[in-house]
Amino acid sequence: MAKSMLEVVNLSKVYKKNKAVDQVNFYIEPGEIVGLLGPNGAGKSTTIAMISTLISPSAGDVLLQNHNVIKDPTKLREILGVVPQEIALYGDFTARENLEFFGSVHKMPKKLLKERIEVVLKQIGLEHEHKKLVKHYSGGMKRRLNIGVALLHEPQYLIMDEPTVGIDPQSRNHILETVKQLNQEMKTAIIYTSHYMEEVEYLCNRIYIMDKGRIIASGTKEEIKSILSSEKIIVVKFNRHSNSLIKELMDQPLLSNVSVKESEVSFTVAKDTNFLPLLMNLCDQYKVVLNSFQVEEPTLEDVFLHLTGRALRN
Amino acid sequence: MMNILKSKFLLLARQPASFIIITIVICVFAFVLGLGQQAKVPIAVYSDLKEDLTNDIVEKLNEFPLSKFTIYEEEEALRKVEDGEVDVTIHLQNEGFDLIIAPDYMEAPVLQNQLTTLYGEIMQKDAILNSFPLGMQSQVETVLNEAEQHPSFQVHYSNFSNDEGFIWDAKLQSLFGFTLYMVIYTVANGVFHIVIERRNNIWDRLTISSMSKTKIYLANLTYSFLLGYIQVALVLSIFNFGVGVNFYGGYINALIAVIPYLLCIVALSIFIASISNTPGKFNAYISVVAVPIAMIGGGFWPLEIVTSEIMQAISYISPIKYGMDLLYGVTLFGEPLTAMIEPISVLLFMTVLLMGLGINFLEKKEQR
Repeated sequence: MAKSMLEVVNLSKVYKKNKAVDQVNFYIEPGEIVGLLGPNGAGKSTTIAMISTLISPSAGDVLLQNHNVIKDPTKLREILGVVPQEIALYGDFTARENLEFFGSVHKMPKKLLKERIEVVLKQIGLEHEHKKLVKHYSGGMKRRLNIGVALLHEPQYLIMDEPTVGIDPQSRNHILETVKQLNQEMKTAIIYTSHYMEEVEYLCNRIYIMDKGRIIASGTKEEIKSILSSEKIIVVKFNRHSNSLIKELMDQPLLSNVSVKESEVSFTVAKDTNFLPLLMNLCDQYKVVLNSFQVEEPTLEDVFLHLTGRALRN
Repeated sequence: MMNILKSKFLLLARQPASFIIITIVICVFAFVLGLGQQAKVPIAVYSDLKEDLTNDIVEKLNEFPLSKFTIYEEEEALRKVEDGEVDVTIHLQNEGFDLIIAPDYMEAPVLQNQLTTLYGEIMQKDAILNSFPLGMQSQVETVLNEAEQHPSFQVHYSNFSNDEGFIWDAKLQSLFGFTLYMVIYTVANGVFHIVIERRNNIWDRLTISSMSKTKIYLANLTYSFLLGYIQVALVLSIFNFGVGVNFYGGYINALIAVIPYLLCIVALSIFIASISNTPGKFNAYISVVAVPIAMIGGGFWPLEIVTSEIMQAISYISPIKYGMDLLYGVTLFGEPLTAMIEPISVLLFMTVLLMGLGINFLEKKEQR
């Protein structure tokens, strides 16, 4: 069980003139699952690399119960597991051989390692497939083993960098359940990054949203969603698609975040705005029939897009 | 550290093809190029000189171990080289000689060197004889022959690079040259693990484990060294015990002498890994570097036949030059290892320099 709080204080990383991470502060308490969200290039991976002592920060500290991890990483490394985004395994080894090797570099006693391998194989659902070479595994099996390797030495802190990328729903579900179980049964504290908002919403107690190297929002799921609490999201369906109508909707000052998804159009309006007369007028003007409309609570994705913008990122 | 080494050898056991292929290639090339030269190459000679003098020169030339010299009429000698029946035709003249050489004949500088020395000696003797009256010539010739057999000064060539003289062994040349050249690829294959592991984040997993970075590097570099060493030892053993190549009693010393060379190649590979951003670039750079250092370092032919002073000067930057010096030194020249301090020191200096730069660059890259 995690006993010490992991804190990140004013962490920055500068590459030549580019500030990849700029004065980031956050903390994770024992037994918590914290989500780290952000578009591509937001600085998540650099932040994670600094927390996991892979790269040195340009400024700032990582503290484990007030112990400076940057100066002396040994203490953190003993209790930290990292699940990288890429499959970091030997393809020419079996699952068991991979686990034996990575367990041995953590200097685990042989007997304990043997026991842990059996436990981990069960946890990741590979107890019947452990004799196959990893290069013959499916994407989902590789992902599960990728996680299993990080769990061998029973880390108190686990960093998971997009652990469900590119796998089938069954494997994804298994991974999410494993993460939940680890947290509930072993009280493992987890820093979880993903582009799937529903995963973060399902797993995380608290969330940090990063963009352009900075933390732009943080709090519990409810606190984050309340950023859009003064607004409501309206989803409408018309009998036909009209580009002129959509353009008109986008030009309306009362409406924001107008987006089109198949036959649906969604937009955000202030909570006390009566948008119906405006909508009906526009329907008359462009000879379009309003089939239905729905008022929705903002989701994490809405908040994320609201904060980071809808423009494409490189 | 042992667990990393164990894992590397297990990976080698799962994918042994490249190691086996390189070993076979070294053996085949060394055998074909070295032992294939056992048969003497035929060389045609025609001459404007007196018959006695021509016979004298050809007799001396036939002491040259790699070729068989035969006298023909001018027309026949030229036809033979034109038709490819011989690689070289020599035209002996009063003032010197001409060589008519097939384009793919590699030993021309060696032959030219040999001919110049021999021709000079014989022409000098002939000139001395001719400076005496005809009646005295046989008496003078006896004195000269006596002086040749019992010279006043005994000249011995004793250093391994022989500034004046040139001693070499075709079998050892191709064996050592090809072994030292091809083992670069084997060692690089070992270092390639580092490049791949850094690429697919296994390296990160090791970095944040309880194992120190020093031990991770040490294990990986030891593996690359051992991989190369096992291959060299295997090839030299096959040629010593199986093929019966003469190591002049220096087989064990050769196995020791190759150590500083392999350390240097490990360091060179690490340096190349540090400047290559992708596994593809690493492989390309290794090929780009390996061939020239073998060419300028005497891996493919003896450096003594290289006449260009610039090329001779450049050879000093090639680890293969020092590797060849070491191996020739302890075998052909019968030197003890203690006499090999110079090439050993240079190789160790290169090792420290390249390893220092390489690891430093790799670590800096990791921070990016």
